[in-house]
Amino acid sequence: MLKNYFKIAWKVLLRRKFFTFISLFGISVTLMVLMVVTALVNYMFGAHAPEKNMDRMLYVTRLHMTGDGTQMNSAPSYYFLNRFIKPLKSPEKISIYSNSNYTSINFTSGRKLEMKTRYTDSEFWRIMNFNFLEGGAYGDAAVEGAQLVAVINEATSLNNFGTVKAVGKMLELDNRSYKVVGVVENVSAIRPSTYSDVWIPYTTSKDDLGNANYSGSFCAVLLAKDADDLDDIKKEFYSTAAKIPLMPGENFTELKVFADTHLEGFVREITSSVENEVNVALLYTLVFGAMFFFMLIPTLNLVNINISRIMERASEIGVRKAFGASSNTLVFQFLFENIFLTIIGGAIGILLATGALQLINNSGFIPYAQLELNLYVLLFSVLICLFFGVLSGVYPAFKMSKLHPASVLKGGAK
Amino acid sequence: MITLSDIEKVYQTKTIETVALQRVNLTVPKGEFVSIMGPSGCGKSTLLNIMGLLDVPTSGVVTIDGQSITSYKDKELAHIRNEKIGFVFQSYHLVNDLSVLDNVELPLLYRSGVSGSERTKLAKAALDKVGLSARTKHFPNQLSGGQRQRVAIARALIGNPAIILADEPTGNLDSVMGEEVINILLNLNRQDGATIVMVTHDENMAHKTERLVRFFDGQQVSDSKVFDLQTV
Amino acid sequence: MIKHLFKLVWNRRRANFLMILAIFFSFIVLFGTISVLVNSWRNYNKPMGFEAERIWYVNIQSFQTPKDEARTITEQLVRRLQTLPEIESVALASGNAAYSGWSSVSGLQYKNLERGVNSVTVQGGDFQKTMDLNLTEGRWFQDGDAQSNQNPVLITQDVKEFFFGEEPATGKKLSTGQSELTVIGVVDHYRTNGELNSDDGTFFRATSLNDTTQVIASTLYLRMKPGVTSGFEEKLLKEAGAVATGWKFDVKYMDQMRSNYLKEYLTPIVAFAIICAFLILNVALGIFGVLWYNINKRYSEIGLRRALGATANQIYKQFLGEILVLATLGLVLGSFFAIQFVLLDVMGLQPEVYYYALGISILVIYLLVIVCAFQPSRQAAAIHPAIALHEE
Repeated sequence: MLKNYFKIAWKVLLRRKFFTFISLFGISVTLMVLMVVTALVNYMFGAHAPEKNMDRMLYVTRLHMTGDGTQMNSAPSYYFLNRFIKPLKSPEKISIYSNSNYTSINFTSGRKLEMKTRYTDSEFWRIMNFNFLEGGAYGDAAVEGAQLVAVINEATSLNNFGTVKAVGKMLELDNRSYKVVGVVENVSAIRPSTYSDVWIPYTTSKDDLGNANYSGSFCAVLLAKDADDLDDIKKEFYSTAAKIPLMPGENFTELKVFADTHLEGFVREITSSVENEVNVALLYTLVFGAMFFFMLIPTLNLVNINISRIMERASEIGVRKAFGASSNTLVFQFLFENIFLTIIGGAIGILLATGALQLINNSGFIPYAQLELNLYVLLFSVLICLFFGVLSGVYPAFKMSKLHPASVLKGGAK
Repeated sequence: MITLSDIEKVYQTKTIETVALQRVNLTVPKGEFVSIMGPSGCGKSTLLNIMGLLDVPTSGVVTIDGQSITSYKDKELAHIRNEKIGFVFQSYHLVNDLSVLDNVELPLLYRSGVSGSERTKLAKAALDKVGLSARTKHFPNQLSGGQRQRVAIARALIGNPAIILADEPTGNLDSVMGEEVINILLNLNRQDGATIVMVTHDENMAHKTERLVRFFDGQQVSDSKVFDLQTV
Repeated sequence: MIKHLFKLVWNRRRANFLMILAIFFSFIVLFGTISVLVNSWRNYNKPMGFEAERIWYVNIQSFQTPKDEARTITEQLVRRLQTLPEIESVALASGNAAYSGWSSVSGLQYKNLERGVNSVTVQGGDFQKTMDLNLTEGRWFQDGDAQSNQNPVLITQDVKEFFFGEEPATGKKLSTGQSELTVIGVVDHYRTNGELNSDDGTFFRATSLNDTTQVIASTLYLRMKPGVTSGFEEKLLKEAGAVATGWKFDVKYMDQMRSNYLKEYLTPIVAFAIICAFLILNVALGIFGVLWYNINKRYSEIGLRRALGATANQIYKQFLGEILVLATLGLVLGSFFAIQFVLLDVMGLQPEVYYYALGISILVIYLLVIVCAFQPSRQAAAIHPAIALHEE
């Protein structure tokens, strides 16, 4: 029976090549776009190395102070985080590191090299799971002693030292010589909390880290023992935050600081929310709403074409009905055809998406991006495919089941 | 009046040549009701198409109201069809998406200088003639076959054509409805002096008309009115 | 005839509904995309007021150097750089230049008019010469202006027109917060957002490095002599480092900043436009397919119309007309929603942008359906009536 369905579906698709082409084009391009977006979202928000334990992490990146008609949003300073956040009891580990990258330069053989540089503590390396290609991280002693040591990524190693081993070599950063202790795999620029070219101990910074200004350029990450502890940590965090004294010497009357998961942080950034809890559901609604809207046009189109295809076969359907095929059988056959078509379109879409992702990876637009279609993305795509196929098939199938064999066979429409 | 002189129609494909009409001479004077009979494939439809200027003969001359239309182009032919000829078909050919009134108005749409209100007035008058003035707002699929054919007749006569060509107008209808339709055509002929050429399979229908022409294998074989019979 | 077309479309409304809906959604997507494109294009076509070429943009980090010392060192630095043969002109000013990602906006007031304007603080060197700014009225800052209690400022032409219309601006008083400013001149253009962003104009004020109540400007603008390459950077850093030991200088070439900015700004727009184009192409193919099918279905109707006296050209026009009516219905619906967008100002653009976008989108949709309908309509016109009406 199923084999028979396949055979009919295949023949039908071949018979109307133009309609088949239009359908396939619409389906495959739509799915390609959705897959690329899904891959991108997955890459941005999924738990990958080095943030493998993302589901156990909370990030403290924003400080919000208001008073006397002015407000200030900025990253917290090292002083602030070290004094008020570091003492929290419930997280398993806490790391403080610079929230954005500084550009360091050197001139090797007359060529200017720019390197993104991040200041970290030693805890950073225990919370994040970097893949070390050579050597290892710097430890507590190196940070406390403000030793000039650096972990660099593969690209920096290649740029400065070529293909030879980098560990033990000296790396010039803004006229200071750092000793390379480790080389890690490149981290993509769309992982804003870990991405960099060079990581060095924060104690080697020339900035005055003891400065009692609350606003600065650091962030903290809190690691929970397991994901269920996040709520407890948040509770402790916000009750501690409520007791933080206002910044001395300024006229601010209110101070807020937030602990967010990666996704919540993203929502906070785009909505500029200053509530303790951000509405992540809103983001989901928006994303799925946008996806639905995006799929709506191709679906409508497909429905249009499907109706044409069915009506064109009105007499065939009439004959089948006259010979005793029930509406259900015919509807099922049509839905089967449509899902079959969608799956072919989906397969083409996967190929196109693979190509598009290659293109994005090779364009270098997102530094060190390695976008790929993983199992999640593929599963999601198959789901979209089925949704698409059913959605665009149901209404035409309904119309088909309403066709009256007698009136169809009598003709009228040629 | 319509005159066909020495009409020949040959269909040519790569391999074979089919003669559909052979030296046909036929004159239908004004006010006459002619039936054309013959078995399937005898060339009746081709003849009607040629009379209706839907098809051009391979050779010979068609003259309508003294106007020879041999060398006319598509645009001029369309214009003459619109002015001089009314069609009635076996399967009615009503536009399902248009109301009865709009269907009847259709020929006037392709005639310049007829205002919308005038069109409606004429269409209502034509529907009145076929006894369907109560159905103007209906759509074709809400009507019976006989009613549909009457709408088609109203459409054929609205433009006041020189000749009405009816291609098996009762072919799809049962005898009661067929009777209804043929009576309308007869009335049109007798009371309004309409010129009608009707192709039919039905001897009974054919015998109600004043003249009967029989065709066989693309040739005219008999004509019941002797004054213009031209034997082969 | 138009009434007839509307009748046909209306009577087929159920079959046509999906097509109208597809056109409607395409229009909405098109309208959104074109609004963004039009806005960017309009901004792009306005003059920037300066050329990015040959400008080096240098951020200074003085770390823990005490403020007073930093003032002296900064002054020495400007003077030292001025003497280098490769550099044509040097200026010390606030860092909010185009492509820098920095912005600084102050509210200006004149009588009951108010506007947020970009505020550029000039602190040393010759900013006008360095950026090659063009004065249309009055004069640039002179020595002593920075200390003057008149708070002299220059404004750009668009700011002048907003506050003073056609009247000369020189000598007029503006206010910002508590302080009063005196306009001493007008610069034709100087935009501090990139060329694709909109801009509400700029005003310049001067502060003195010696004035301890003012923050030290942290950005050097260097205008290079023609032919100076990036190879000069190492020497520049050595020279600067000799004056300001332990400071960090982050050198960027403004033309490179500009191309990075364009890339960053254009990529999402282009990606979105491509997706939009795919969607529209998709719909166009769909319309084409459906029309093609419709014409096959209406074969006998076409034959009939021809028999009743329609010329081939009239058939062609009828089918084209029907799709135009369909498109019009979709567009009326779409424009209704688009105008709500404009009234609510969802995207925060200037009203003209929406009207241009509306016009262009309508035009594109019409063009699209005409192109899609062209071939099927011609096919319809070519149908032979005798064959189309053939019974059996």
